[in-house]
Amino acid sequence: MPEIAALLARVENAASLLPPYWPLRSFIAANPLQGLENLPFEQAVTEGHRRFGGRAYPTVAMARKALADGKIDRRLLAEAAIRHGRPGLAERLLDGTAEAAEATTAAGAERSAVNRVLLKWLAAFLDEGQAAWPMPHRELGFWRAWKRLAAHDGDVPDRERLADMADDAPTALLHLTRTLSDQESEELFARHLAALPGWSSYVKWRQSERSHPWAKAAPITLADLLAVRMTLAELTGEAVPGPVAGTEAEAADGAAILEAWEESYRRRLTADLAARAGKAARTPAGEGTRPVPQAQLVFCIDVRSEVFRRHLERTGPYETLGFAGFFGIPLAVRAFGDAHAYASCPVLLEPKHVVDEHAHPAHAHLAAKHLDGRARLAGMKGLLRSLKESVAGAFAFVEASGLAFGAAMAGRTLAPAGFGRAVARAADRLRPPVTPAPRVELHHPKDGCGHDHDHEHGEADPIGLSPGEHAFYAEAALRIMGLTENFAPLVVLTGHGGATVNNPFEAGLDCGACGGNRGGPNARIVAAILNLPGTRKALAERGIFVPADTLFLAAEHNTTTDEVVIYDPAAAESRHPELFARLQANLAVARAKAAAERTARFTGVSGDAVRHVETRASDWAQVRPEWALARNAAFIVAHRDLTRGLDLQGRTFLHSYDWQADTEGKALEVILTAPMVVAEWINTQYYFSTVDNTAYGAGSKVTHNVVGAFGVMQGNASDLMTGLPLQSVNAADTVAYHEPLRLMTVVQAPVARVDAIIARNPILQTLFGNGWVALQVIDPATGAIRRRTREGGWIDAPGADGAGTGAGAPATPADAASDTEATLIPA
Amino acid sequence: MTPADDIAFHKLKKIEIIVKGEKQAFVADLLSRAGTTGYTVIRDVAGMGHHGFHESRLLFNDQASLVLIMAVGTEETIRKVAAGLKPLFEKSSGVMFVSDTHVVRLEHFLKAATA
Amino acid sequence: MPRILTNLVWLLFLGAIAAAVALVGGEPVTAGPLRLDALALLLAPAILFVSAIVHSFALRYMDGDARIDGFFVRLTALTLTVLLLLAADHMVLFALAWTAMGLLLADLIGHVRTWTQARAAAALARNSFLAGSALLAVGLALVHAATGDATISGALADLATADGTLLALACVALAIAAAIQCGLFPFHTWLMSSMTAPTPVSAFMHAGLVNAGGILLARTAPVFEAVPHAMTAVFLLGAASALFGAATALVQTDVKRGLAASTVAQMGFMVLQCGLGFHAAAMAHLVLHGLYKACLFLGAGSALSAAKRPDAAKDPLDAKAVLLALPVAVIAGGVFALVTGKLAGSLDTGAILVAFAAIAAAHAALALRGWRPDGFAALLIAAPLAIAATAAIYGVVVSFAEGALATVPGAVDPQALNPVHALVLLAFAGGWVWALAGAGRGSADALYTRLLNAGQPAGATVTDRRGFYNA
Repeated sequence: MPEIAALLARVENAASLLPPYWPLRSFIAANPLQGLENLPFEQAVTEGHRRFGGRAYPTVAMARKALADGKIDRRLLAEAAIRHGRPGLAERLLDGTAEAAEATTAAGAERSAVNRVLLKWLAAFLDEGQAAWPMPHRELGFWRAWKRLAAHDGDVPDRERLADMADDAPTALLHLTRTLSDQESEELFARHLAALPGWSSYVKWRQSERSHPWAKAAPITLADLLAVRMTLAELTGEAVPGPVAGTEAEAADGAAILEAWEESYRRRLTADLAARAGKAARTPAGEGTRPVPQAQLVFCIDVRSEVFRRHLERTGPYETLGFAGFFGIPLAVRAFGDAHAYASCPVLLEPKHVVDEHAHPAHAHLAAKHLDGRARLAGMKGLLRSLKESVAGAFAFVEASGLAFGAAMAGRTLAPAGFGRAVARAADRLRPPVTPAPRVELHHPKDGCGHDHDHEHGEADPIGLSPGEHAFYAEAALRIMGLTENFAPLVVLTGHGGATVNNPFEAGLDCGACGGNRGGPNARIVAAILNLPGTRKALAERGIFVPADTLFLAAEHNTTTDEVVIYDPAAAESRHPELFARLQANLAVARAKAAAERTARFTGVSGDAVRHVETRASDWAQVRPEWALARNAAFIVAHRDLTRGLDLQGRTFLHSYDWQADTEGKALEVILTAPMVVAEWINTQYYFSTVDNTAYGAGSKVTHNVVGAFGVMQGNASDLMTGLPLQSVNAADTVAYHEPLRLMTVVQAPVARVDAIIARNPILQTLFGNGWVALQVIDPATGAIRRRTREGGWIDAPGADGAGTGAGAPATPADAASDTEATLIPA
Repeated sequence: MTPADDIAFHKLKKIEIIVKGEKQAFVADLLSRAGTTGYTVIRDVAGMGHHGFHESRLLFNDQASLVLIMAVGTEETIRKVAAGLKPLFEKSSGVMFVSDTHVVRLEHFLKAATA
Repeated sequence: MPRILTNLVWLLFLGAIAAAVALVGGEPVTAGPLRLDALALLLAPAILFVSAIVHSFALRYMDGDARIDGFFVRLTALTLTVLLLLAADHMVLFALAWTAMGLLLADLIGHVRTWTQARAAAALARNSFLAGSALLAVGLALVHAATGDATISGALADLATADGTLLALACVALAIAAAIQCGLFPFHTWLMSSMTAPTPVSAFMHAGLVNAGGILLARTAPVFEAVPHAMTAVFLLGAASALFGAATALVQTDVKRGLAASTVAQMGFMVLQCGLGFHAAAMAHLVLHGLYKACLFLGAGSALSAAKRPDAAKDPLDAKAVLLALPVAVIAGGVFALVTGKLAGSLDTGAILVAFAAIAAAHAALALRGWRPDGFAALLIAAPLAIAATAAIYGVVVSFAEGALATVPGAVDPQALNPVHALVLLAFAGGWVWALAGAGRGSADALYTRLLNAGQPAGATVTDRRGFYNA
């Protein structure tokens, strides 16, 4: 029926309001208002309030504190307030009268029996292993399985009517909307989906994720969800709530506060960069050869890398670079000893290659023992779980094991670091640690490559990459990061991952560019490819000459403890023993410095910084193992020369870029359309989780309840709590730590090149044009810093004159329309 | 008589759809529901349109890059597909082209629709 | 403040250990309305241990909470109230401590004041506890009326001459009071709706407070033993909950409610043990379950590791399985019986405890089946040994409790076996085999749905719109 095709398109349209929500094990940042990015920011947040009841701007309390702390410049606030027709805002903030205009987060609706029933069945259906007895009939899909079971559910009124409903969810949905026009249906779908936005977002993800292991065992679509919800609404007679109203004054105050806060930060940053840019422009480019550093270390663009890079650079002649932490290959990795591969690349990408790992030759003799031990540990875990769930066996089990649980509890609480080490030692004895090594050459997997990646990989397909692919990705990575000459003897690709225990948001600390996984395996794979003689030869043919004595190394930066572990140190020790020893020592120095900077950001911490961060990382009671990407505010695409030595306070994503080596702008286009997009997701997730932790964040960890082994609810049952937990953005319940500012991108490149790239990428027009991301360009020739207006014009960046804050024309939509056109500077 | 004279051409409709990568799954479902027996996908399509020039340079963003999806079926099937795409294009950018085409092995292109 | 209170609880813990070492085995010490007997001396360190751990944990976990001082004051006060309850001999003091405990706990369940559903959960718990307190007061008043004594110890000494009808009525009131406190079926809803409490409160609740029902039964054990069929009724009350909780736990998809359902089952088992006349064993269960459950609650953030793949294989219940499980069950049951002396004399309710130990051993053996690396033959030798050793540990723990509590009236008083015992054991064995063989594969739609609904929290305590969560 064509009606069904049209109906499904309406469902798809309605669902475009919601971002997909990934399971917690691969915590992926998303803009909760992703579906509204086609609107200007101010309209989008108002629509977000209407749809989700979420606050649009920083609260008055946050603003007052920022004003008191000097983070908001009072003069800039006064200017912004006048621009928004709210003069006297600063005074009202300080004397406490601004609260009056601030509406409390509207719950917006009555209690919902429909949601209660739906919560119960969604949790039952979507469960990925928590329940010992899973919901029956899940293979039929949500709608059909629910229809069968709801026939026995006393919470569903008039349930005998279910028997008359169609077995096919879209057909049932068509019947439920038979009296409505297309537009009315679409609006109704949107409202029903927004009734439990978190769960709907997860269903949206599940529907799209064909390779998810549960996709076949428990298939669910948004049409299923809508069919169940709308049936329940019809049976109970419960109306779906309409949009929530907001106040104009609140929005105007909020917008003024946000702009003033952003401007205060941006002008300081701009002033810092302007000084550097001016100096760089005055020194003629290519003034002879640069000295070769002892080592080059490539870090992820993650804001946490900046702190470590800054401290490491101070220790010696090291050059550091920033690049997306998956190092450019859309990979799925089958880890050593694992049966299945996992995608380890940005979620913007489908993995296009599978690489498996085997034991490093130096550890090959331990491989069998390791795998045996692993199976034993898994067996023990299975035994414990089975006994816990045993209908009649759990009672005696509890008595036999209670003392052991008590001892574990005491150890984990009173001496977390020591206990963690002891457990690790015991596990290592049973399962001797084996360093894995990737097999990057094309080969046939000995024992299948697993089934969870159905992207064109059958059992018999070879895995790994061909020599041509090696060369292609190697060249792309080096060119995009601007590392095409002047290679150091040691080039360390440094992935990253966090360290935390008892934390459902664990993956949120890992590498976003690796799809919420640790970046170490990717670093190992790319380093191995770059060390292949064939790759070096192919690179030379393409004009990139890597010296024969340059060795690529892989490492992983632990962003919670700032430890950098270099894999395969033996190779480096034999090739460049002295350089390597010095590097190791300097990494330790940098680590201590970075740890000290980190502990200063926590409240009430004293004593040895390194020990403190290690304890924090292993403490099961710790709700703030690290600040992750909190306070992120800018994305700088430039050569490190521009920022080297500046204290950017861990607030900037740093992507290396050499404008001279990228005359066609290919590399810049990649950087702006992919890493920057991901940075925007992260930035908006932090923004919205901070301004409204209920509507857009996950709420407090202390009442979290993990559901289905993939998400969290609050308390007894609730919407699936998407976004960041309160403790990730707040230093205390009422004290925000994150500064909710929109991202500002700063690019060191000719304006014309940037303009051309924006012109051919709708996604950039959307993000810059609607105010989701601000853009400043540093002209490499003159050192002048220009800011793009939303309309696409260019003005002198406020603050670039070094005045920091002041009379510079603010670039806001209200007054930016009449701007000068770009002065085109040839590249 | 050469073997070529033996071959009969069967008239069918062809639909070509260009959407952002993030809508590929929806289109694939739509095609399968409507009763097409298969489709071809070409990723990273370049071109000029309402939204300006779009070039296939996006190494790192499958979601935002354009894909071309091609499928062949009976007129009835292709109508169903078009009926599903029309409302979609109200909200998100995309184009479709429908044209006459001929196939040789007709049975390869026919299957019962589920919708 | 939080740090001071935490240190105080740790000091109390050390003091309780010292007191236990010094005084256990001696005559109970009486001071006014207080009486320190072996039961109090054994349980105080256990409860203080969990409380102190929870305090220490919460120092980091609750850091930044807007009401952290109030939280710690209540947590410490709750701990002290439980200590008072353990030592209270005067009936009025016991009832007061019981009531205060309930009110403080309810308040902590509603710790997040701005969250409507947390307040609803607190109100539900408060109302349940107040009903329980009223029943407790009635029960103690009836005991007082029957014996003329105002202290519990005094009343227990005078039961022989007491009015049987009054005592029977007292048993009903006390048993229901205990059942409410333990969250037993059908009074489990407050417990299944208590996840609005911060995690450390849940840990302490499940480890230290629901247990009070068991403490009440142990304290008043001779009253139940004096009333015909009362013990069997208590046994049935516990057995129903143990089965109900275990079955309900199977279908729970969120970690905390799963743990709560398990507590319903475990508290049921503790009451079942009381009904068998093994109050000392019940106290051991109370302590050990407390350690177990507190650890699992505090570790509830690790629940992502429960994720499975849909294709995870399940071993069949075949002849090979039975071949492995049967001897293991017999050996483990034998070891446990030997260590605890449960089957030494005539056949009594001790056999039921032995049977549960044997079932657990059989279950462990079956779960080990999939342990491929060692091969089946190795398993045939290793599994029975390991499991028998575990059974021995279990036996030692129970024997220790029985020895320590020997002076407490009614602590170890095995009952004669009757058909009810046999039927219940059969039900457990049947349920166990069914769960092993069938659940999760069959499609008992009606049963599944009923269990799912039975474990639901009260509607008023479900945050059914996102905006209601307002913390």
